[in-house]
Amino acid sequence: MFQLAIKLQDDRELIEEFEKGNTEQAAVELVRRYKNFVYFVALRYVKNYDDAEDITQEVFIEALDKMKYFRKESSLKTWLYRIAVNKSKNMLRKQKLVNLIPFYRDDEDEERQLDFPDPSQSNQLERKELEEKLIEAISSLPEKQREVFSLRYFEKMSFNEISNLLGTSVGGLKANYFHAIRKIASLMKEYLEE
Amino acid sequence: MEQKIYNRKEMEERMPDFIFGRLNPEEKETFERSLSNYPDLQREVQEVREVFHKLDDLDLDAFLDRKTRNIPVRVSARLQQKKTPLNIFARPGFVTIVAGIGVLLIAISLYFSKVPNKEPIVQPDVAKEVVENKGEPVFPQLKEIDALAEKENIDFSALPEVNNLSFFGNYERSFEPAGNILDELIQTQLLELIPSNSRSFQNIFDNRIFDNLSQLDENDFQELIKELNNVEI
Repeated sequence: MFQLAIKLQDDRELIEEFEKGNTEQAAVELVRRYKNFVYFVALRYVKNYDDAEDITQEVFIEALDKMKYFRKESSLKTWLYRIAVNKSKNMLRKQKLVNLIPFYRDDEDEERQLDFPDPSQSNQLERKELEEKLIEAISSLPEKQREVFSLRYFEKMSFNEISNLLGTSVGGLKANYFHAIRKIASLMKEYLEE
Repeated sequence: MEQKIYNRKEMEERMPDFIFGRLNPEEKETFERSLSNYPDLQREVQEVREVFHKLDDLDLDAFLDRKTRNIPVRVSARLQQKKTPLNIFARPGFVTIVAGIGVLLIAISLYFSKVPNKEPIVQPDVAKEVVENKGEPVFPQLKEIDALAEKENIDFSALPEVNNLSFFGNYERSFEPAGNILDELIQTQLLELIPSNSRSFQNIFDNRIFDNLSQLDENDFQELIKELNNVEI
């Protein structure tokens, strides 16, 4: 199914492909285009690579399943963002419940948090560590700060778009963005000076 | 004309966009002009720039690409898995078979609901048989009881317990293990002990009495008879 890939210029074309019935090709493009975005949203919430991957898969399965109900009022990106946040929050709620059960312990949890596949090249390792540290710093922020930072800094979204997505005023978002930048800079500075 | 200067709040709100070059030219100019009024912010801008400059080298997309490289295949596999059972149901052949089986089942159930059952499973109506005393009783002991009742003018139909099947169910179970022990002699002797006008069918043939009697030996039984002779009923 995902062997065929087509180049569609924007989301509008992608949705048109779905409407025309070229669902397989459109699905390929949808996943290819937004997998990193969805994965990173999930990762920021669940702070675990494996869980983020599971959520990403579920987000796309749900999105492809409900594509016919997609209203073009919002962009595909914001629609996927909302699904990803809902799924991530659901998973966190479930995990909270599971953690209430005494004696539950996932021995692999610690392992899954760290992932250094190729330690042979020290440069690459340092880089990888830095990437993980940045993600860790982002994940440590309060939800609003974390999301506005990620959506503005990485996704280059406008404050108006983020405001629609998070339901916060533009002024509030700007303040959150400022605090997020300040904290990340402080955390990363500490790490870089170590 | 006085040039615009941002207040502290306005400066903070614009600082990240200034650092990452996302302010429009007019805002950028105002921000730069205002910055000299806030030395702490000036320092902070410098620090944040330095840190993020080091992070600029990071290719977060490449990092995420590594993490998500299997997702398209996995999503595809899960979709296929989800589709498979649906495909089976969607096949015209499958629908026809299911519809055929449904029609057949309805026809069978309609047929059996209209045709009377020629050989119904007969539950022996013990009560009726004893009361009417027609034909062979189900249990030989019942015949003997019946004869005794007739002899003693006991009207079974007047006793509600007689029409109670469960009572006879218990009655039957009591007789089975008792076998020949509860012979006519015992029953006759028991009946003779109680005046006919004060007899209660249930009292005489109470299952518990028969259960206990069946476990008595001859001597104990005679003792019991003697005891009963002294009782005023």
